[in-house]
Amino acid sequence: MISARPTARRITSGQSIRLVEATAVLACAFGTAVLSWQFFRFLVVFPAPALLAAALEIPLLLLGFAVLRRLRPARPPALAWSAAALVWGATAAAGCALLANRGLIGLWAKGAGTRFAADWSASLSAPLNEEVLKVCGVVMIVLAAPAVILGPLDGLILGGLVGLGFQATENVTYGLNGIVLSGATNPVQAVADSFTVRVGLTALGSHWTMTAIAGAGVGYLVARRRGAAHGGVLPAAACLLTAMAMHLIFDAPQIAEVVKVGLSFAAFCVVYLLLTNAYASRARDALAHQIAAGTISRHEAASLLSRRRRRQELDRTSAAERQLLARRQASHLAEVERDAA
Amino acid sequence: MAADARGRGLAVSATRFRLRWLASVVAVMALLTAGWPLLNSAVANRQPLPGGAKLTIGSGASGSAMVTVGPGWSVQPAQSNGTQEYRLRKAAVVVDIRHVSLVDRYQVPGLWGGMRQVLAVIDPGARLSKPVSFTAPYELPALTGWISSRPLVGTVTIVPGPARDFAIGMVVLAPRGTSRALLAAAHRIVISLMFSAASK
Repeated sequence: MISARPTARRITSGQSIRLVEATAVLACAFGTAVLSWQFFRFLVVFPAPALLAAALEIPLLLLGFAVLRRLRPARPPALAWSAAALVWGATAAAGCALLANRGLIGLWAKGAGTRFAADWSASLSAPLNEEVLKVCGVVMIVLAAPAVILGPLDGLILGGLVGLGFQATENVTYGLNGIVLSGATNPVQAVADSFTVRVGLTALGSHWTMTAIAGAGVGYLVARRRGAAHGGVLPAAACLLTAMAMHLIFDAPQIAEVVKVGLSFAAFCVVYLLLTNAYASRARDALAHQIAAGTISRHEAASLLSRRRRRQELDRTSAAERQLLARRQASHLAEVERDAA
Repeated sequence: MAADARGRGLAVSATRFRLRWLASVVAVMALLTAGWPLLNSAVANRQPLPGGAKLTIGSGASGSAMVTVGPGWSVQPAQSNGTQEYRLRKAAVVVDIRHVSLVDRYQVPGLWGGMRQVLAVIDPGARLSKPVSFTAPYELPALTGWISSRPLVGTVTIVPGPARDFAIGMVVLAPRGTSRALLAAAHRIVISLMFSAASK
């Protein structure tokens, strides 16, 4: 008789992490294949505009990547996992969403008529498909690297990076679709026009804000599993539903772009401020405990949570001691982060 | 010993947790990515239109046009979108009606070349003839020509709107040997094109 129970015993923790990583790589490869299959012909027929559409996203990606990582207090999330989040959004989530949306939009058109679908199918399909597929990337990071996302603030940052990757890919596809919608009469202008709207006008309140909030929800689940008092299923569900609602409003017809963008950006700012305040308060408590236990001096504790002050401390130290101090700072910080997240 | 056992227990629990969540993520992704398309393909992609039905393509009075459809035609909803495209079908004849947004009137001469390139993306096997100019209703200058997309043949017609800020492209495709009556029915849709702005 085959039993399911011994399976987990036979697979070691390391093997299960490698399985998660392999699945993530496979999902990213699948998403890339779907996107290539869908848009390869654009590269053949419109090589210069297609490359322009991709090149225009590079500054957005670099700037967004740097700013989002910088938003995490004390120190940025691990570079490799930040990049992994971006890649998941740009490939696995974007590719799968292309197929999922096509299916669901087709169902809306068949069930509710083409006029209704023209107005509402995107806003009724994308929040469900895209938010879930994007947040799966945050969950995969939790499974592959449990130390990277310890709470809602980590989830918010990594989620934002997943959304940023998705947003960049979507911008490229919109630019390419713009060529078709304008009858290919001026492909470069079609790409530039799409870029102006999607980066110049709506970028501030687009996918990165929504997935950041959904990602914070994953962080709440992680915090709950770690036994932290602020963790919970309810805030996690609330975050995912909020992200979906933001997406619905963002895609809804007859709402001014400035309102949609403003709402999404404001929602992100409110959640970010709430989470950073709570995080800072817990970090200060954790430091006070460490000082009381004598594991860290009051002087070291004073500079630990600030990037600038940690750097200043390192600059004041002799070259021989710098590495040692940096290691000590990292070790104390890791402990504080565990408690604060 | 007890600590070792507890450590092993925690590791097993973490591994189980990881595998359970991995399975959930894969299941959810598969459900969305394959589930919706499968469900969509299971629902009939054909909605019959009443004879004389008028279809508006585009948005707003100044940016839209209308065609009148004869009896026996159906719309394929999955490929149709009231603001950008309609795909109509009657037996083996397919009529694609596309709304093309233009930035200014100087883009009008590029419409035929643009259509050739768009077809190279969406239907790489399609071949388009040189265009012939004709005057559409309301004295609007238009272009038409032949298209061949094995095993189908047909016509392409492009009519710029009165203000030249958009155009309507219509592609009729049918297998060789399709009855003249069916082709004439498709042609009647093409020549029924009316611009909301011009008709005022």
